Amino acid sequence: MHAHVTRLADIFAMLGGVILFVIVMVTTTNTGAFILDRILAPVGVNVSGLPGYEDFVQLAISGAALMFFPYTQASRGHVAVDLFVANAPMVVKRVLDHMWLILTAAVALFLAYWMINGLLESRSDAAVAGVLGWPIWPFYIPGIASMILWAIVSVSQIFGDARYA
Amino acid sequence: MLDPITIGVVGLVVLFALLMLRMPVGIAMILVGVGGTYALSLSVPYVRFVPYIRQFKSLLWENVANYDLSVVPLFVLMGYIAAEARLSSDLFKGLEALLSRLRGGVAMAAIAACGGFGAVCGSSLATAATMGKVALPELKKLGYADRLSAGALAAGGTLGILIPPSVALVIYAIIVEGSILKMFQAAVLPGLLAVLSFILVVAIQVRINPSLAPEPRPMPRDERNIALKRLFPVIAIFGAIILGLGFGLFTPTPAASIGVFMIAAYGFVLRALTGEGLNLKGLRRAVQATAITSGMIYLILFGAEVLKGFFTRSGLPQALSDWAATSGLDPMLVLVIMLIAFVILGCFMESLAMILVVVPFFWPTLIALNGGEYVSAADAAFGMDIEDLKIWFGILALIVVELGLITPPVGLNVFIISSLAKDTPMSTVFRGVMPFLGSEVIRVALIILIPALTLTIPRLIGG
Amino acid sequence: QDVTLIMHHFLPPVANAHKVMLEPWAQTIEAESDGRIDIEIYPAMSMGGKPSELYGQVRDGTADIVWTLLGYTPGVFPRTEVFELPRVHKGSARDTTIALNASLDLLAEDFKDIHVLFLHANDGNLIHSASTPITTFEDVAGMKLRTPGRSGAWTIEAMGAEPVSLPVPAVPESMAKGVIDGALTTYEIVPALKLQELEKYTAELPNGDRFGTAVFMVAMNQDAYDALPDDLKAVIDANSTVNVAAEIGQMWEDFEVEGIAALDAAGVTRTVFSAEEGAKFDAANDTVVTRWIDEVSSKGIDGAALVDAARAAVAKAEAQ
Ligand code: NA
Ligand code: NA
Repeated sequence: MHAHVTRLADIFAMLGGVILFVIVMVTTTNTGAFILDRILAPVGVNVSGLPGYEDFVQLAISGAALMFFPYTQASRGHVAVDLFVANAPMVVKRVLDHMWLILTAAVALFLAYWMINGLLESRSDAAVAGVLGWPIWPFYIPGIASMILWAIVSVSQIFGDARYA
Repeated sequence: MLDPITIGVVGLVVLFALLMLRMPVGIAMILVGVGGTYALSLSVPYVRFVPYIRQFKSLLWENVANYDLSVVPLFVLMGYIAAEARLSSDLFKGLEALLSRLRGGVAMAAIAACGGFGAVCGSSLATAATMGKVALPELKKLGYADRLSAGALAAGGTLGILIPPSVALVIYAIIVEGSILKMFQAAVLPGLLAVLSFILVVAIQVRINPSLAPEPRPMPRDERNIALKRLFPVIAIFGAIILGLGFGLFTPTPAASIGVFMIAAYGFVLRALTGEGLNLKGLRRAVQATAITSGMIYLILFGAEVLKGFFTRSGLPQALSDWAATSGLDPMLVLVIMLIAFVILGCFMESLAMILVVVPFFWPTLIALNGGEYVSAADAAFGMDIEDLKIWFGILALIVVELGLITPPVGLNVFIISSLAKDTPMSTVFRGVMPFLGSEVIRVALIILIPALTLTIPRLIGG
Repeated sequence: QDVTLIMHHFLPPVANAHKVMLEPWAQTIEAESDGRIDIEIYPAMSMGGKPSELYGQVRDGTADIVWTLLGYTPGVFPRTEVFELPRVHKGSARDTTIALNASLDLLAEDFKDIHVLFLHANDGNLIHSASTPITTFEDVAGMKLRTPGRSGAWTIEAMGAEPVSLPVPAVPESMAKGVIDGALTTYEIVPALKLQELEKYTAELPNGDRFGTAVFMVAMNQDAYDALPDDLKAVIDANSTVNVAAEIGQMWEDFEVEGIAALDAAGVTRTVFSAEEGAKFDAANDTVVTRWIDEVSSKGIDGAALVDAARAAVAKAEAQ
């Protein structure tokens, strides 16, 4: 179970990475067009950038950022202050770790629940991105899925991951 | 019923208590923000809890759907790809070829390489880890004392957040609503000063105690030629990024994207030509590392947003700055106390989390002490207007935050170096870092006394 | 006092909107209620969230009152957008503000979840250019202009230029770096962004016309309003919609004075297009109106009727 969940978190992280590379390509194209435009301006040639580029980056990064959360959890990457508990007895460490994992799962589910409401509201409001005019609500989906997976990863660590216990 | 400000103070205390019990920082921030607002709703009629909770519909998504913040994962990715494409080792070998004639020269090369790598990497930990991996084995092989090489790399790693780009500066600029670009420009001179002073520390140490470093042995000619040949493309790429960013060709997100593109492309070409460089496996590792770092950063950023809502409603930051404005305290003294508080907190807290928790309290207080938001430079207590104060304080805070990475008991850079150099105990690394710490204190004093060190470049370039 | 109301908005306290519009408005309410209503203003998003979340905050009651820009949530106020269009908004914040508040029945569907205190417009957009001199319609083609919003982007496209969407604070930096060639925005914003130091030319339409405007609202949470006793509701009502429209609209016209003075002092060339060139822009702007009608029609809104009604309301306000 733990291994499968970790693998899924890895896949989410990779998808987030793909989104980052798409942003890199789109930005590089847009900036390339900008530089060409500068170079060719004296000869009267206009090179147009990608309209709505900033909207695109904003929508795309929202997916990538949240898709990283489960993998960060799977790698125990959400920072914590280690100093004071480092020398505590093993049983104390384990109890604390399990408590925080349950709490993390609860927070993740809380966020998922409210994001689902946010998606529904954004859809019924018909909110769109300014220049692109794309509807906003589909961009809530990666985040919601990521919050749910984050909760599952945290719970699975109680059983399958003794790294901090 | 407690008054709101008391609830704010209790919230702060609870936050630190939870952190000490090793609750993940982001989770603790969210919990205290929500719990604290609940406590406020019990005693303050106009704070209503149920409507407050409903804003979580959009709060997280709007927090991450942010064009400005997109530079954070991109700069992180750029650093990790540069490491996977072995640009880090090309950089170090090239500098070693240039400096190996000097006693302690290879340790100096390691520091300079840390500084150079800092130009593509936004994080200290990644810089320390990457350059440690590359340079520590070489220094060991040549016979450098563990103390010197580990100290040099732990300290050199801190250049990762000082030399732009810097994730910490992006976060700071967003908190104080300043320009990311100007913060980067302001960090250039202090960053160069840091590289030079660390190199000087090595030179002084080996002069006093020659046994720390072996007899200088110039690199063999063939090896040297290859190393120099590989150094040039690295310098060209890194230079293009830093010049493009600093001298106004690009704004941060395009600079980061083009950086990622160029480095990945160079890495793949290198691979095709020489068999060394970037492959898909390396790219995958870079993305995984980026995911971990970015996920961590985005969570504490969101936690800080939740916490901000609570503290604003409690009125605590406002009360603090009102008090500071009327207390008659010497502004310079308060500034120094703040910087010392950063160092103490940095002894056990992660640097970004620290910036996010502490700056929202310190910044309004500093504005009040300086004479308000709209004070002119001539009337201001620190002799500069709010825009300059933003920059100056940001760089000072960054340097002292970065000190926390190499001070005991929790110095994350020290942990990384000691885990990389498996037979070097932690205490040796801390001992090795001490002389560098000394130079940092001098540097902080210089920047306090000569604000021009930070303000000159942003003023000259403007924008 | 009986009630404390929290007002949340997105600009710092130094902004005209805060110190000239919102603060005095709140003080009037406090005074006329004999201190029974206390309004606490939280500027600069200090209660948390992004400006685009202000509408959600007032709808859910996180804040009791917000001041927000409708353009922060594109698509959410499809009807009211008509007043942002060029050729509907002519060039007067006063006229369009009066028209907006007189048309609330027509726009009711957009605001069914909140209690509108008042809507207002700014004086309208003109072309700000960093270094390109603009005297003709053709001069604008190919320029990269920061757009003030969705209909602004269409206006820019209609001129053959390229709309760039950027957060407001990024405008000066992007203009200095040449990432944008200029912006479609107001005179009012000039001092706040120090545009007078960054640009050499501005250009506006003949007869005081502008390239559309932005619509703002001050709105109250419906439950918070309903919970007020009748005499306090009356105090709020006396300072709402049609009762304050002329005054608020005039305020936004006056906000321009400072910006224009800053530009003149800095030696920025301010051009007014000739009648001949103005006709070309009018033709382009007519296509924006058509585009808008087509777009809202697909949502089942009678766009053509809204345009007619809005134009009539603006004309009526102009005559007052
Ligand atoms: Na850096
Ligand atoms: Na430390």
